[in-house]
Amino acid sequence: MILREYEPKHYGKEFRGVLSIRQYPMVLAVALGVKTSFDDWVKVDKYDALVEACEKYGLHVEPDVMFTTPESQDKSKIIGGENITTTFQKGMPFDKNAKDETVHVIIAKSPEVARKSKKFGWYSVIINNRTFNKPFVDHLRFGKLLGFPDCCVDFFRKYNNWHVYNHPYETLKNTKRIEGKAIGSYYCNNVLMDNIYFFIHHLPCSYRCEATIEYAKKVEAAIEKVEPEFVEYTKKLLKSPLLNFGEKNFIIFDGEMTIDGNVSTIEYKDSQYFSNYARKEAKMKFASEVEKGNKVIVDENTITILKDDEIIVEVSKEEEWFAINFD
Amino acid sequence: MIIMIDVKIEKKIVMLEKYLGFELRREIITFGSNEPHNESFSYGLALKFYNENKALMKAIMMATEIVKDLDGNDDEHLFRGLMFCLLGDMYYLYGDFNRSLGCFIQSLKLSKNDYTTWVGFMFAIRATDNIELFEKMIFNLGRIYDAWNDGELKSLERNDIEDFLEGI
Repeated sequence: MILREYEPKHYGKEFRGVLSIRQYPMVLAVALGVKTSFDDWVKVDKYDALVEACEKYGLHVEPDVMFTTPESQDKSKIIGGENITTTFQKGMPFDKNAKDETVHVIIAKSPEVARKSKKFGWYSVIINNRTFNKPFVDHLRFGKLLGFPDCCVDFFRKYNNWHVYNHPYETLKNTKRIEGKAIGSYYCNNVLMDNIYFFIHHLPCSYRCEATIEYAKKVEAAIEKVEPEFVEYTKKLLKSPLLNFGEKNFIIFDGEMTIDGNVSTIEYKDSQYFSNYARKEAKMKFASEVEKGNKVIVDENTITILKDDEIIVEVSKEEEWFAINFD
Repeated sequence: MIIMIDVKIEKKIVMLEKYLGFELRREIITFGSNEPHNESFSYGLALKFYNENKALMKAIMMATEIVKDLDGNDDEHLFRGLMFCLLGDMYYLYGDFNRSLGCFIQSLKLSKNDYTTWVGFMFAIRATDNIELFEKMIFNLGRIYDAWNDGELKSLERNDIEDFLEGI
């Protein structure tokens, strides 16, 4: 296991136990004035505690729809279920007195910004057994209100269609290689968003996107002043090589990657697999074999996993799977 | 969906479809059909015209001209409803949410049971800063839909919808 739990040491401690620690850097980024707003989920019985914690940091909370997880995740029983690409929730109007439900919240420095973000931040919950997707353009408007760069929002518009594209692969194809440097900048490494250790919470248009780098540097610098330990550990993780299979479907390595032509070799001490819980069909069955090894060789057609140079398993590689390193 | 339209107007429709890159004769999905709303207009428009306001305005002009021309038989009446829905989506993308709302209302007057238009209408209400009304509507959509279709709800003005919802 590579990722460890994080306990805030200096800043944002009030949010512990109220908001999920997974979004910790976003809370900081908004509180420190780098990011305009962000959205999250909070248990309704923690809502008042969230408002209180936010007030200490000059933040405003705007509640949106409330939801509960249905007993069954059988999409076939939902009108519009064929278009659901993630786990789905059953929506209901926000009620502060609810016990077990969760509420979607928008958090920003000002009530006006929070409300504007809320307008376009509708979360597609199931209501009376049917899905209600917002107009597609609202995803783009919401992204801009969350501070995502225009180029990345536009890239999302074109390529975030799971039926047709593998977004991370499109990002890779859009990345210009720089002689003597890693494939990507760690400032553009978004894979750990929702897993605590990240500076960006959007899908970048390229792993060397200049707008993303500029923004992430601001986030990093701001957080480093108040919680330097977090930044130190996050940088280490974001510079780790990856084997990427799709959105939220990747293996992170504690190791080093070298590239020789079309062959990438990752030598590692440890690895951790993250699968997309909403797309169980895409789960990599061979991920457990990676844990047993200490070297992965990736070429155009094959992924070879080795332990002390003995082959454990060879797997056919899909075109969209790729190894990537960051500096 | 077969709609018989005057030949001259048909030519303009074909030109608009070529310009937009998608067909306009989408199926009317009713609330009771248990089908999801049709996102072809809103998605297709966003793909082609996002951040392209000049090109989008040209599409709006073309669609508006067709709406003005359509005033003949029942089929043209029905298609006019579809065109108003398209204009609602166009103005929504353009960012003129009041005009978007107006177009969706016109569409629903002509095609009361078009569920896709109802969804567009609700999100236009949300975008015009009436988030609370949007929430009341989305959680009671079946009731409002039926009330509009059977005449119990007399208009789609905000006050009338709010009064109706108060009574539920």
